[in-house]
Amino acid sequence: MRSAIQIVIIGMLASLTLASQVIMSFLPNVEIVTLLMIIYAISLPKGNAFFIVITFTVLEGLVWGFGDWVFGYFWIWSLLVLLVGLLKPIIKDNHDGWALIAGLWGLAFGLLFAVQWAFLYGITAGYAYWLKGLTFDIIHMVSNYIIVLLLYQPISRQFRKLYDRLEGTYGHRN
Amino acid sequence: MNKKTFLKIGLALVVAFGLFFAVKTFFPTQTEVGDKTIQVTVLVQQDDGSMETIFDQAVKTDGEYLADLLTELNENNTISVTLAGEATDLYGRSLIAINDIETTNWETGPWWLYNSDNNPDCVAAGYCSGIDSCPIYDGDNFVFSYTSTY
Repeated sequence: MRSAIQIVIIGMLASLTLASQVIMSFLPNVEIVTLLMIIYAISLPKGNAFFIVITFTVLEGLVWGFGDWVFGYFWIWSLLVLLVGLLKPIIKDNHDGWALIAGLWGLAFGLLFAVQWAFLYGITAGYAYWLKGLTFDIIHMVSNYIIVLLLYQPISRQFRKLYDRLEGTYGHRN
Repeated sequence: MNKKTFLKIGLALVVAFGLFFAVKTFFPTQTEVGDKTIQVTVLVQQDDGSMETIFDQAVKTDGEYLADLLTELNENNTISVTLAGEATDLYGRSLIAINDIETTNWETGPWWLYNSDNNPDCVAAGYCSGIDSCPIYDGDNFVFSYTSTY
């Protein structure tokens, strides 16, 4: 069972992620959610990042309205967390590596949604969906790459410092 | 920011532009040139939730995109259409009013939504693109609805 402090952290980080998404929503496909999810998946105890994904997605649904995209958010962001967990021993703390992953993730984001679209509405619909969003995926790719390249180190360093301080105060919570 | 980081960002932008032009070259938007007849229906949601039809006609156009059709309808006074933004914007222009019925609250609506039950692109994708990137074809039906439910 998760401790009260863990639940508070999950809620706060999910809210922070939502706030960042809403604030940047006027910029099409430019977001720092990918960066934050990568940092959560690297820095937090196992499983917590998945709970952040679930909470963040529910909050997104409350803000923007529930649709089939909400289901997509559940599994697509979870997939990123899983991917980061698998790549963590290889990439370690290399910001170039995470920037590349974030870029490729941005490019693949529309394709992953298209897979869901194809399951729900047929392969033609999935293909058309992917094709229509391809230019936006390119924006997503380049913006993700630049954001992670520039912000991964300062934010992850500060995040870990704050998290370590929290562990020092409330004890280890693995 | 050091020189290396600048170089990496520059390289990323070059790759992005390369991909962008590759997409535009290999997957160009197919449009239909020439005269076409489009069935345009305009519905407005009433206070009791029912939809009132304020326009329902087959109109002729040689436009290639939905925005061309709406601009033509506005210019020949068939219906008045107000668009916001520029055609060159990332999402193109937005439809904000038809016959002076205008979206005033963008958070809660009602908004002008549109759909087509036979436009191949709308049907294939499950939704219609922005008016500046939605190609139209002879025989298409388009329904514009002023509604706060979607």
